[in-house]
This record gives sequence, C-alpha cells and structure tokens, in this order.
Amino acid sequence: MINEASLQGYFQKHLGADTQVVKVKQTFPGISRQTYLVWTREGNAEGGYVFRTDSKGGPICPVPLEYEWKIMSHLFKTVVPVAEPLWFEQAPEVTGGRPVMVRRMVEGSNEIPGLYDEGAAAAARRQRIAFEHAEKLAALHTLDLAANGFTEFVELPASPSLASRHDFERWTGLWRGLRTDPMPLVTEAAYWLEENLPKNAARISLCKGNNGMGEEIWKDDKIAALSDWELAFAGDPAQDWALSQGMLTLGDAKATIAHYEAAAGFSIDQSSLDFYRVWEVWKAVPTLNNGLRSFLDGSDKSVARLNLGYGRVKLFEQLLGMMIGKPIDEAAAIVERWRKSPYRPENAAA
Amino acid sequence: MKPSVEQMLEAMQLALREKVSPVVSDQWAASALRSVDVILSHLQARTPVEGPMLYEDNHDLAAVLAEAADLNLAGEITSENVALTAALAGFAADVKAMAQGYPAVSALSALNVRGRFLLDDLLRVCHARKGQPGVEQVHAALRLYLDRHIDRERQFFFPTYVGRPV
Repeated sequence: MINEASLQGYFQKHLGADTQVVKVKQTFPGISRQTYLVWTREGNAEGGYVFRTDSKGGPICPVPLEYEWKIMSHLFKTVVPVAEPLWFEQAPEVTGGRPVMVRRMVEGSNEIPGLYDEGAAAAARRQRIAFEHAEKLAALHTLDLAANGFTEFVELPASPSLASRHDFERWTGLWRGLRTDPMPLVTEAAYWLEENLPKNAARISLCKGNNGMGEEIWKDDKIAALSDWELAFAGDPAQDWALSQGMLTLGDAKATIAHYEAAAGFSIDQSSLDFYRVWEVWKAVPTLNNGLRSFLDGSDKSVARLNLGYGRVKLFEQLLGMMIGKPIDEAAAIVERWRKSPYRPENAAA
Repeated sequence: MKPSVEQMLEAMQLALREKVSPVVSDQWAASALRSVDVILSHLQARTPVEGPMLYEDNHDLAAVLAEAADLNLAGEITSENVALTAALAGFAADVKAMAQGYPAVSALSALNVRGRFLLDDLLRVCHARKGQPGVEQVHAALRLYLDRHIDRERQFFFPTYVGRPV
C-alpha cells in the first residue's frame, strides 16, 4: 500500500535522511497508472513530488512507464514545458516490483475555474486559453527529434507520407496480439481505415497523444506543464489535434488552428484531422481492451478496469459499426456528435 | 412464484442508488458505485436474453461460415488455410451438436468466440484476395453477419455504457 509510512523510507533513500513525508494523496481516477502527490519536509524546506507507478494489473495503455520517463527526460531539456523528472526505477520494493517514476510537483491545476462562465469576457478568455494550448502544441510539434535525442528510442515513420501508415501498423499489430475477443468488426473497420490513410503529413513531429482539457497543468491561464506522456509518438501533428479534448470547441476552431499554424509554420489538413478523429476511436479499442487482460487473469479485479476494458470497448465497437464504410468526413461527424452529451446512437447515426 | 434474476439485480441497483449513493462523498467510492451501477444495468439487459441470443448468433455464424467453406475460399490461398477450412467444418459440426439438449450459456459463448475468430480469419482472407472470383460475395455475407451480430448485442451496451467512463 502506498501511503506516508511506506513512502517515508523510499523518499529518504533518494532525497536524504532529513526528508519527512508529511502527506500523500492519490489523484483521481488513475485506473491505468496510479499517481500520488507527495509533500515533504526536508530540513527547513518543503518539497512536492509526483510519484507514479503502474496499477496492480499493469497499465491499461500498452506502453511501459519507462517510455514516458524517457519522453519527459528528453522534453525537460527543451522549450516544451514539462515537470522536472527526477528518477525512474524499474522494480523498487516499495511498489512490490512495479516501476516507479518521480517528478517534481508543478504548481497549478488540471482544471481552470470559471472556464465555462457566460458572457463575452469569458468567451474571450476561452479563446486565449485555446491559443495558449495551440502555442504549446506548436512548440512540441516543431522540435527537432534527432537533435533532442528522441530518435534514439522513439519509433519513427520512414517519411511524413508514411506517418499514418506507421501508426496504423503499430496499433493493428498490438490489437492482434492483445485482444481478449476476436471482435471481427474491429478488424473490418481497420481495413476500411487503411483505405483512407492520410499521406500528407506536414512533417514527422513528436505528438503528445491525449492532450487538452484535463490533461495539462494550468496556472493563471497558462500551461505550466504538459502532462501525461504515455501515448506520445512520432507522427503526423494533425493527429494530436484529433486528441485535443475540447480545445477546438473552446473558442473558434478555425481561429485556433490558424493561430497554431502561424506558430508552427505549417498547415493542418482538415481531411487528415477527420481521419484521425475516427482512427482514435479505433485505437481506443486495443488501448482499453488491454486493461481487461489483467481482470480476466484475476490479477486486477477493479470494476473500473472491467467497465473500461469490456463495456467501453464494446461501446466503441458499436460506434465503429455505425461508421464503417462511410466517407471519412461523415464518420468524423458521427464521432463529433458522439462526443456531445447526452449521446444516443440513433442521434449519432442519423 | 419467485423473483427473476433481473428483478433481483434491479432491487440491488435501487438500494445502491437510493440508500448508498446519496451518502457517499469520497470520489473513489462514488466512482466505484457508478461502475457497479453500470454493471447492474448491463446484467439486467444481458441475463434474460444472452442464451437465446448466442444460440441464434451461433446458427447464423454457422450458416455464414458454411457459405465461405463451400466456396473453398480459405483453402485456396496457402497450406495454412487448409487448417482454417477444417476448423470451419468442425465449427459447423459443433453448432449442430449443441442444438441437441440444453447447452450452458458458457458453452454457447465459447463456441461463439471460436466462430467469430474463424470469421476474423476469413475477413483477412477476403482482403488478401480482393477482386478474385467469389470473394466479394463471401465478404458481403460476412459483413452482413457483423451488422446482425452488433445489432443483437446493442441492447447490452446502449445506453448502459454511455456516460462517464469511471
């Protein structure tokens, strides 16, 4: 069990004998990985750390924690704001052998109070916040991957035109190896998507994966740290916009994309964005279904893992069934309607 | 007269919603309750119809797979697919055998998974041999089965799993 007592010796080992763990709080929801906020007293100073480890049944996302650690370690040396990564251990005793990453706590919150207030001033604020996020994504997407060491451990597409193919091959391969049920409709959907792979990526960028609302640390309406890098990959920057979780609806989507394009120096193709919106629904199936494996083998019997790995996956299968064979822009429109609450399938497919 | 499984699940759900949920303030506990509520809704939809649904789906699968086997689709590609052809025949025989007596839902489910793995293999064959004689027809039949299958399952997942994921 991770708590003040169990972390006391662990933090002393890393930070010195005068370190006192005064408070530990697990962040919610943390189904795939567990994240704990740790407050310390170190002599006369106070410290704040983020202790991250795999869940008992392993991560839901089929990517090792060490990968996220490496991404953050390399990013910390760039202009992209991330929390300072401090250490990684593959199998410490404190977690019973699960990997651990510790980073310095960043002041701020993943929520922005008053964000959805009414009125013109609140609307203007939302647009500024969307621009701030766009600027940070542009900084990430324009990083030189080789000069910053990412090419040493991140799999790279052979060319920008093969970026979507690279991601497609990676995830369809993962799906074949980890699925807990044949789900042939998901196979058929993959063939449909393969026929529609975009071939016009502006460049190969380091992409964050899940980004936007709820993912980043905000302070005074600025991004203090881009957080949660387990789904980072090298690919088409348009793909990150498909995962930008509310950022394109925060203000005027065209203005936000234009702001990004001005900062990045290249354009985002709308048809690529449509494709990736649909592709991300497909990718959610192997990602979530991976979490069900530890439920089925009895190593992690949490109900959240059961619902994500089974019910949610079957929900996405149903959604793919509504879209399969349609033109990609129509399918993307179904995804957009699906994301609006309250969602009903008959509305989405109408 | 005795209460049905669905009625008992519904009573459990009602108790949790009316008596437990209102007094739970811890976000982890509230999340666990939401998950349990979703599972209880799922089970109420699934329990009364799962057996008949699987029985119907297995016969549907058997017919679709037999059509593919008749076209010798699997066996024409590689020697590995000879095994696929044999598996198709074995599946058809097992579906027929299970029609006698009263099969357990778990047995119907295991057979259904087996059949859908075979169908998944056949989809790959269809795409690998796109444009060849007979392939389009088999592929269309497989696609139609997929539509029927997710229609049969829809009530288990809609609207149950819509909403907050955790």
